[in-house]
Amino acid sequence: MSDLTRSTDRSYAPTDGLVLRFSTREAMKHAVLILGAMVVLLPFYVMVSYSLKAPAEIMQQTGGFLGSQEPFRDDFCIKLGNAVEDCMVNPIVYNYTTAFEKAPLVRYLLNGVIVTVSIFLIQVIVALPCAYALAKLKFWGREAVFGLVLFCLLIPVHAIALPLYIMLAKLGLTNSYAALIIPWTISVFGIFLMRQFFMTVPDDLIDAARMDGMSEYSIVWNVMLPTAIPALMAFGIFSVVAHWNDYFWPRIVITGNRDLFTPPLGLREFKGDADGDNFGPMMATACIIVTPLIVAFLLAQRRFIEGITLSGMK
Amino acid sequence: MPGSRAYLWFIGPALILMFLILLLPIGIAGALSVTDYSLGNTSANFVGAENYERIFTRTTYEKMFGATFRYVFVVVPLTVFLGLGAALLIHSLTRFGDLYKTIYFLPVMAALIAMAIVWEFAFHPTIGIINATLERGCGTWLEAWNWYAAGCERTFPLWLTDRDYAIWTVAFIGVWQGFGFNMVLYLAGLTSIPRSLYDAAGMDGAQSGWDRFRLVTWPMLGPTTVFVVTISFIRSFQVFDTVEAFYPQGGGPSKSVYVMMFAIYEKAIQQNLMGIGAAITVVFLGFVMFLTILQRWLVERRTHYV
Amino acid sequence: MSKIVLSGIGKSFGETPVLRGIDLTVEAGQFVTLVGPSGCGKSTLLRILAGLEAADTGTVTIGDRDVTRTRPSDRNLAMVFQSYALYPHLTVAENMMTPLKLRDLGPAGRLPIVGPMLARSEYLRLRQQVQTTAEALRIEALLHRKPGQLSGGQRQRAALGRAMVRNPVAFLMDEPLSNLDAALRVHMRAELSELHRRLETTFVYVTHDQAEALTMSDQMAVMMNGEILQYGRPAHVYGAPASLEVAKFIGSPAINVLPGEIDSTGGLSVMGKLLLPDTRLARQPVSVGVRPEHLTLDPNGSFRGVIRHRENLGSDLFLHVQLDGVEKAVILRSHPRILAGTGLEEEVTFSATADEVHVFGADGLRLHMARPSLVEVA
Repeated sequence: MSDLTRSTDRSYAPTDGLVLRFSTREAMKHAVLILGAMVVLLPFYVMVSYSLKAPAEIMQQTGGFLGSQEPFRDDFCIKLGNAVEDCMVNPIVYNYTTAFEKAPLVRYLLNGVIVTVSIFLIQVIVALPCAYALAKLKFWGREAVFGLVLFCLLIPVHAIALPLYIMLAKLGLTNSYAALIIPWTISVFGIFLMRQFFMTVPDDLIDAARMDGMSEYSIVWNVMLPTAIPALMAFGIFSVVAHWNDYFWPRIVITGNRDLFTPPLGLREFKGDADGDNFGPMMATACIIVTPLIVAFLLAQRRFIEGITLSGMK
Repeated sequence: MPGSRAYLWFIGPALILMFLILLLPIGIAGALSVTDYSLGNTSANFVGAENYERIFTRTTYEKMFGATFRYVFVVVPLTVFLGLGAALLIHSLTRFGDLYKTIYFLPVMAALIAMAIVWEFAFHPTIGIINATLERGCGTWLEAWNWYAAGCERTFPLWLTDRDYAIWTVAFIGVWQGFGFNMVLYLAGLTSIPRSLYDAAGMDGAQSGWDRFRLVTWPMLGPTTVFVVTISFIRSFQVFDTVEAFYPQGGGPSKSVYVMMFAIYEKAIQQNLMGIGAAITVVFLGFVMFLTILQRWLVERRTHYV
Repeated sequence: MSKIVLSGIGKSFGETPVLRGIDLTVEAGQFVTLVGPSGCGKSTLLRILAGLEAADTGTVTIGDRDVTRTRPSDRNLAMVFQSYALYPHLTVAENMMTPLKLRDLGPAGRLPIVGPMLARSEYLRLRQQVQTTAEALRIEALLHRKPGQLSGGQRQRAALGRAMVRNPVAFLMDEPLSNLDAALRVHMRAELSELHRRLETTFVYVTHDQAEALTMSDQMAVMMNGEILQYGRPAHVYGAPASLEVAKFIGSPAINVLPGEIDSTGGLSVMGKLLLPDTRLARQPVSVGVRPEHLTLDPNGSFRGVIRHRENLGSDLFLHVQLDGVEKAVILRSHPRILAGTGLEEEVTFSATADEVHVFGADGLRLHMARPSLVEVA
């Protein structure tokens, strides 16, 4: 499909085709892609826009993208017995402050960070040595262990959520950080990815380290880890994104203790409470939850996409 | 180093965790699926294949399979097809390719629960932007289309609360969220196709884009496609976020969106019927494992080394 | 059979000019090599000839047709790629059928399953063509294998087969031997030459290996930095290089270059020793090129140096001799039988065959001496 790519390497440029046809074809492609982009971006547009608007504007679909930003009457504040003049609030301010006040959003964000970072760290601690052993050490049963890893790759963790929940409940661990973190500590995918990567590290490097007197343990963290940084980053991104956005497992496992809510749960709870006209703050919350990953993505696009493709192609 | 036992420490934690977190639960699910256990009971009674019988006969579960398969068999082809199309288009652009890539990948990054709630607003029958935009088209040439005219007359569909449209709307959101992921995978596959194959095709007389696609692009994308399809199947079987967010009780208007993961959640967590929850889990696992093994086998057959 | 003429070809990638006004004529049936170091533009030129790239300026003519704006497949050329570019999902037979199918069958015939039934007689004819070509290359036993199951040499022949089956006006080859190991390469050189003689078709061959160029071509074009420095028969390019760059690129081991000068009487002296008394050239500093085989150990020789290194290849002995005042050692070809007499750090004297030296001016271009030389044979 790449007729006329002018990339920096050799381009395939058939000698027919007038300049006119070239630009029409490109223009059509752009037209289709722009149409698609509009559909894709629609909810983002709605989300950001509503988080900036007053309730009346939301209901009536007015105000363009940014909203007219006129102060509006906060009825809840009036109910509390304040005078009308004290209760005129600016939409953006209202939406975002309510978002943070109505539920401990900062706490939820913090939980999100704690959970995703812990999960990733433990995953690395468990997976890296195992991958090294599978890739570079010869021991009896190596093939069997790798076969086991491959088998476990078939098991989607969400599918075994139920028995895991029962086990945790029996141990009294529901409603705890442990419950949020433990099931994810073993990432067979991470083991697999790292192993494939380690297979490409020359044996000579490891032998040189051994000659220098390094213990196996030291080799893992001082030799293999630095060489694996690209793969680790890709894996890290994959893991953080998956667990920051994870809704299903926290929903099952955190049943009472609001303090342990992760961001998706926080948003959901907001919705559950919503009494019909708190759309503005709810959209503000959604924005806050979605933004960190999007910003990180925009800053490190290449790494993100590398991560996904690495995980895919290997 | 021969004789070193270091490896035991390395593989130990991983093995233990694999057993405890991945393998043991499967066993437990299997065991529970033939009981009537509830959390809080001191013991479980063996009930044989009763749970499985229920799954394959009762109408509720018929709806579960119906909803799940409808969802899966809409979302998978569409995400694969759109992902491939987007990848092909973007790959052939000279400029702005990265911009489109970023835009199309955003839905994958954003928390589905958040975007689901936004979509719910957008699809709201009265204050949602979708119906509002459709209303604006009333009285124009669009009314030539019967469906549109009917909508203008009465109301446009209720989408998520509408028995006929709910599952398709949820599927649409699933496609929206998922095709960017497939697009990225396909883009990687496309860049790994050696240019010289296209040159050879050009020399051999493949002139149109379609000729080149059939002769070079599609065959070389074989393994990628198998992978993309399998991943899409597994992801779509596991749909939960949107369904639970929209329909916390009951699985949609007359259970039309009562997908498998939600059924497990409802039966086991909400209704504390672990036995049947476990049985659904086992059936689910069966599907997923079968698909993955199928993928492995197909990839072996179809990988062509250049 | 058609003559190929490239005229005024220029090409730039962005700001970088890759080809600067190339003119090249390939007579029908000849084996022409484009040889030069990496980056000289030879592959680009070949691709422009094939139609895979468009030149910025200039024309391509095949026979009496101007094909500058014609698609590759309509130029009736065939190309063998460095990586062979065989379709990995098709068998060798299907690979060879592809150009024929695309050219000779209509859309109905090309349909996947029903095609062969709809265009039965055509299919049989094309199959026969594939079979004949396979037999000519002795790969008929491989027809049902896929490229992944073939060795390097077999893949090369399959790629050749795909090119041959179309009976093109010319074969274009882009470094086809560089992926083979050394022994196989030497063998394939002979095979390709023999193939050329048998088919009597034009071959345009691109390589960076000057040995391939010297041994296989009827005519060779030495390219550097996007220009053709010399175009002629291999013997001529070797024996009368048009510039210092050509002289240094062609010939292994490389030619020795020594500083010299033409004095006011036209005498050529190298390192102070008079070599040729009457060259009829103006007074100027020059570079003198002498090939290793034209330097001989000579007890009465006028050049003196110290042996720094010896390379005994069994058939030849190459001595690296350090001369006073010259940084790079001079390489001298000799015979292993004198090995005993030449030790490291020994001082030796040698002389140069005066008739065989090449003189280059300050601009690097060849200076033609008035003295007739045995080498100036076209």
